Amino acid sequence: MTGEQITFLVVAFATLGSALMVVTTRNLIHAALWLIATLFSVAVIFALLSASFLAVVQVVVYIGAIAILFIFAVMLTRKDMRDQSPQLNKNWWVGALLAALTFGGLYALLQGWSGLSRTVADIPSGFDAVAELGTELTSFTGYVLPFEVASVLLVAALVGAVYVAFNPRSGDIRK
Amino acid sequence: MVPLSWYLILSAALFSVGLFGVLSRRNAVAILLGIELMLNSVNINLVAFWRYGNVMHMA
Repeated sequence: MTGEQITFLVVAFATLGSALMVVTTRNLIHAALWLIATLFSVAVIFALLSASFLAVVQVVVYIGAIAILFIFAVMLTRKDMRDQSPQLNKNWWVGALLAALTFGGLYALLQGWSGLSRTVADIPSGFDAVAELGTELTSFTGYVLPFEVASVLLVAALVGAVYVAFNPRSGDIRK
Repeated sequence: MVPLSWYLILSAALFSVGLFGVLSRRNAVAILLGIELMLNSVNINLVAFWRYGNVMHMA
């Protein structure tokens, strides 16, 4: 077993363990903090796959924005942060069964696929994945249209959020 | 050398954990946490297929 495989296994078990803590822990703040651990492990997985740009984006966007947003949402909506009541609904075993069946089905599906044992080829020297990504996102033969549509969608969501929070009568942000 | 299957199995397991969270948590925020886990597993799949496919052909 090579060092790369050992690194992968350690990171994979860290990912799955913290993901299990996300879905089972009772305290929502703790769940959000475990989610940060999971997202960081996924960033390490990206780095292992030599997708350096996506690893940085994972840390900046997911941990820096989304996980912090979750923590804000929990803090603003829960009256008692130390709420220890049961967090699972009474049909949780159906969810567990369905999740296990999903994993079993995906595993069986993967076993029947011929490309499964494919090994990785070296990245050719002089190949800059980040520059390639930037070129594709801005060239007209590439993905400039979805890129711009996504940015317009984000602006629309931003304007909508301001409109929802703005009270026209008092001219003030709605309490 | 890590074969492609390890990444795909990790991704499937992470997806299943997220699915369990979505189906069995009571709180809406906790359900969103499960959805985030599922989205991340999809991203792992995507990057793994990029790395194990033809890297030069990104588009």
